[in-house]
Amino acid sequence: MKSNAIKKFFSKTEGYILLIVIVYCIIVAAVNPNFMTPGNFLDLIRSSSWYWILGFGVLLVLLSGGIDVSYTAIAICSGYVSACVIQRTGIENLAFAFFIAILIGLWFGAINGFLIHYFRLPTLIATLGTKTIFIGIMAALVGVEAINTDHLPAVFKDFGLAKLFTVPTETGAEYGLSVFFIPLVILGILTWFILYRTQIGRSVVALGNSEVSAERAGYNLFKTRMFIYMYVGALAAVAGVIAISDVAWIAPLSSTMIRGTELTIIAALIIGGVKLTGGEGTVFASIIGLLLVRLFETTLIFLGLTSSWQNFFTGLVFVASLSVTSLQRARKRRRMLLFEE
Amino acid sequence: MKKGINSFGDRLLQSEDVNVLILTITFVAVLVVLSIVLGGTFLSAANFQSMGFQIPEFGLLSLAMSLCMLAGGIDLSIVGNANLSSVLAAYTLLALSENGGNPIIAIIVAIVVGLVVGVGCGLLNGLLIAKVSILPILATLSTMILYDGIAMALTDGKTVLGFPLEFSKMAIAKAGGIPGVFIVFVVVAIIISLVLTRTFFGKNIYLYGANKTVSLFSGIRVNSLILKTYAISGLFAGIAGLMLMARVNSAKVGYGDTYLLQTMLVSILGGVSPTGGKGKVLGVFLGILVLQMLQSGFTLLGVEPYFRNFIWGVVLIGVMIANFYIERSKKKIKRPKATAKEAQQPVA
Amino acid sequence: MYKSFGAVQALKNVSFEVAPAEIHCLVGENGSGKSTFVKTVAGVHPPDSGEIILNGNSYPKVNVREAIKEGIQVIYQDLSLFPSMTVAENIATNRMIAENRRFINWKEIREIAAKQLERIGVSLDLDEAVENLSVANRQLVAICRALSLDAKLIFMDEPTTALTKTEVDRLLNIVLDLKSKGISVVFISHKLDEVMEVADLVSIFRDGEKVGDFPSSEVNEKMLVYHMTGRKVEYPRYNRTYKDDTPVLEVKNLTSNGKYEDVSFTVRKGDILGLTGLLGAGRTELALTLFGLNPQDSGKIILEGKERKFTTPYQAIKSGISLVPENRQTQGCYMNKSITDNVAAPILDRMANGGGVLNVNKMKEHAEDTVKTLRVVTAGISTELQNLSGGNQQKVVLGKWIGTNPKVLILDSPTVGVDVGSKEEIYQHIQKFAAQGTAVILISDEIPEILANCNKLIVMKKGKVVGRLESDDLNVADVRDRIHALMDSN
Repeated sequence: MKSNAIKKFFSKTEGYILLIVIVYCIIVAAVNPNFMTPGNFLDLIRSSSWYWILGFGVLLVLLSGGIDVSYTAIAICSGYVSACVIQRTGIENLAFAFFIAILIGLWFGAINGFLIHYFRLPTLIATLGTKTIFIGIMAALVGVEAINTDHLPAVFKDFGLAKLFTVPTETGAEYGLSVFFIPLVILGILTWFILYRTQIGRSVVALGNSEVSAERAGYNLFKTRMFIYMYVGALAAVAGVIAISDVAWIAPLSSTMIRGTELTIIAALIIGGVKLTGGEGTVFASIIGLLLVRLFETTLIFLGLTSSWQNFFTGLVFVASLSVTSLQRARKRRRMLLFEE
Repeated sequence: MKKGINSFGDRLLQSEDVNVLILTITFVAVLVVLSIVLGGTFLSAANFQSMGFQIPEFGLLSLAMSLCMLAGGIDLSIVGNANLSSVLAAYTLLALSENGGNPIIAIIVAIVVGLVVGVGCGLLNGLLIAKVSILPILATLSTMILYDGIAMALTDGKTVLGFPLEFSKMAIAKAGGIPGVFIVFVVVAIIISLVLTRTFFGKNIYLYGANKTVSLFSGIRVNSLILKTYAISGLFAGIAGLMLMARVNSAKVGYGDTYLLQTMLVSILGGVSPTGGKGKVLGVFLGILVLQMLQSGFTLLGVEPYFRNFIWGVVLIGVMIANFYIERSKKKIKRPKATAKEAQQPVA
Repeated sequence: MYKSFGAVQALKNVSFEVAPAEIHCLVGENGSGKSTFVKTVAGVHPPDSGEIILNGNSYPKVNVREAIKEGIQVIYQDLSLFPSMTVAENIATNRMIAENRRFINWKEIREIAAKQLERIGVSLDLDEAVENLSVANRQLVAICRALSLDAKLIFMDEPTTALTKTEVDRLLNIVLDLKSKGISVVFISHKLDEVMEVADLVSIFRDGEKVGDFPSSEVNEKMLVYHMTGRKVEYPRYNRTYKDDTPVLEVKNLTSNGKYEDVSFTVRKGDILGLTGLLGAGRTELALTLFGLNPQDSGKIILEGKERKFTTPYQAIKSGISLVPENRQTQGCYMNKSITDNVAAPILDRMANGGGVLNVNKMKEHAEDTVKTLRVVTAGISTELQNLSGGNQQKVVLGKWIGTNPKVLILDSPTVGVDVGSKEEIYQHIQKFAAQGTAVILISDEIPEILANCNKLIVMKKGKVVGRLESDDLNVADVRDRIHALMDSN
């Protein structure tokens, strides 16, 4: 019975991606023993926390059968505006920083949800458009000047350095678990709770399964869509504040920190086992998919490669993994004589 | 069927030409407005020439995107492909011209390398889509990262430069005051337009884009069609990469990254249906001209780039909303709704 | 319960009533307004005028929630389930929505599902994803879902098309059981159906109007067709006159694992071979093998004396086999393309010169010819197919495939969703085409269609050939019963 459950788990995409993650870690550790230190793992959690948080939001969009590419812009805008507001008002309060950011995230998300529901716009194209609109709104309202570490409000910097616990190393330096872990865990559990324990969460999955069925079942899809995109917006805002706190500066137009990761995060989730066409996907799948990508981004150096190789490996894994799952799906469909898209 | 009730407006709404008409009017309007606002600076030969130099790269990438969208797909890898092609062409050029090699031969070989790489990358996309059955958006998303990654790994993120003088001369070559690259672009656009409207291959692309399953059942050789389509898309990306490399006289990963959004914008603006099967090269061409005129106008007016992007975003959403209303009014003038609905009930 | 309508468009002055604990049949052709009627009662479309009285409460129009509250449940033909969700969740979801729940209690969901399944006396794995169930079991899930909402009146849209005889019997038992519990069921159908045997009343719709209510004992096929179409329809009976008896296509021991096995038959010029059987009998699967879309595992396909193996439709068409596919909307034609494009699609290479340049005039001529020969009613050849009626769409599809000049023409359910008038015309075209020397294979589950057109018949069941009838057998008076018996045999 138990071995059956394990078998079932590893036959699922997230299962074998976990296997790849473990094998990859073993290889890296074998090449470079310095890799297997607690410090490295804690560091990986710190630097990846906002990826995962963004991933939780993206999970909802993908589950509903949509694609959002504007959420990174929301993260940058809300994080930056929040930093600006605190800088100008002098209210050095972390809760206030999050409050401002989330407020903006919710608004921008609402714009997405409204456009997508009311005008039936394809999600990809709608968010491709709103992405630039959000940056434009931000620029018009608060400007686009970079805030460097010296000028960044202390509340961000302190948040970025705060640790839940620290352990001294032999060399005298310290490593520890970043406080980012707290929002990460809370939002992970919250996302899980929404998806499996609330009606609105089930409506997201139902929408991704079949829009017609969801409508006939009596779900209010306007509510569902607004919820999805506002939730993504709010999570993006949290991720934005965390990312800014982590690197302790923000240049809203040129920063490559969050910008440009939107498609990578979507792809990572799909690698983890979330279905692009909607209806299937788990919180664990998004965590594991992003973990794999983050491992490539952070551990190539242990293999003696520069970070320039990161996209090469990420791309290779994407192509390989998608090939396996797509071929399986295609074979199954061919067997069942399904020809329609 | 209702007969004789359809007014001229309805018929216009039904036809695909409505988009081209709107775009032509927009084109003239933008031209007139910018001429009035900016006067001589906009209407100068220098400005038109500089537009002529800027259009081709972006224009070719847009044609590549449009072609894939017409076939019901998408190609997110065009910019990555263009970068990889230019980087490999750049290395070839350097290797052949460095130690006193004949620069002309070096340039020709480099161009061939760039084009072959472009086509090769396109073929890989096609293979992944046709043979491995990966959804176009996912396949090209992965290869976008992969092509970028290969170029990045090769260059380590550094700029490749030091090309022979002849190469940059080629980039600024003009014929009768018209930039050479622009002529190349126009020729390519005309050829692809003729191919799409007049040939067997072009008709198949439209049909495949309209409905993949029906195409399979109609005996269209869908796999080879996909391969060809993405190979052509790759070829255009390769040419664009070479032009970009010649214009800035160097090659580097990350050049042209902002183009991706704009190519999709122009395709949709030009009337290409995001679900495939409908659209015209002429529409896309007009869209490119409008976008470039606005782009130049904004530059002359000193408008910030992010604000330009903002306007593109607004235009994109605006066009999609307009399409939504056009589609809706189209449905209203169709036969009684109930029968249409009923006919759509699945059989099994 | 009483509902009345005075709506324009698809429904004209329809009055319809269902008593508690009544089994009612609603019959009409495609486009007769029966689906619109159901959607109006269920609150999906508002009526333009008229009133709906549910349990004595009068509504000018109802919305989905009100309809559900009054105990109206519709089981659409596509069942509207959520494929990747479990049986339990599919059953309980609608109730959770109706009760405005905010949170999900999985234990409760399982309890609701278990209770409803027990109520109809069926056991299914509650945690199985619905996509892994058979069509019949999915239907039961849909019924349980309706029951979980305390349905008083359940509409079922064409519930028996995908079921075997045993499954239909089980369904009818469940329906009779529901009736004994005071629940009314309305079946919607476009032909004489097994369910009419248990029905109390049969209402016939035509052109958005109700023709009348009839006790089910009075209903037979002839009067049903008469009332549905408003005229007597006698289909022309096909007789093979062709003299050349050399086989065009021979199929020997053809097997596709898990789909059909050991199928053999021969078709000659001028033959119309019928292929019938219930869904899952392997008819379509067999056709797809002949068309290069379902690889065979063993056996031979011999076309004009040469053994062939097709891996793509392109090869099949080039060798002279054409298929009018089962699903017109998704496989047969491009709904948003013109007639010209549609009929040219399979023969585009013939429309092009050596350099691949299309001859537009040739395409137009071909389209004009097709429209003329098949008598397609259209404003012109540039009309998009979505603007034609179902019957005319099907004529275009037929023309598209006749245009390939096939040696063997396979027609898979060619008159689904086609009105009776067009049906007659389509039969004439098929028969004319066969008389000119084409070998035709006609797949159909409508016995009258088979009897009118075929001079040979193969009956399949669960992938095996269970009966062969030659033209003499087909002329016997009780042939229908014999075919039914074969289809239901074990």
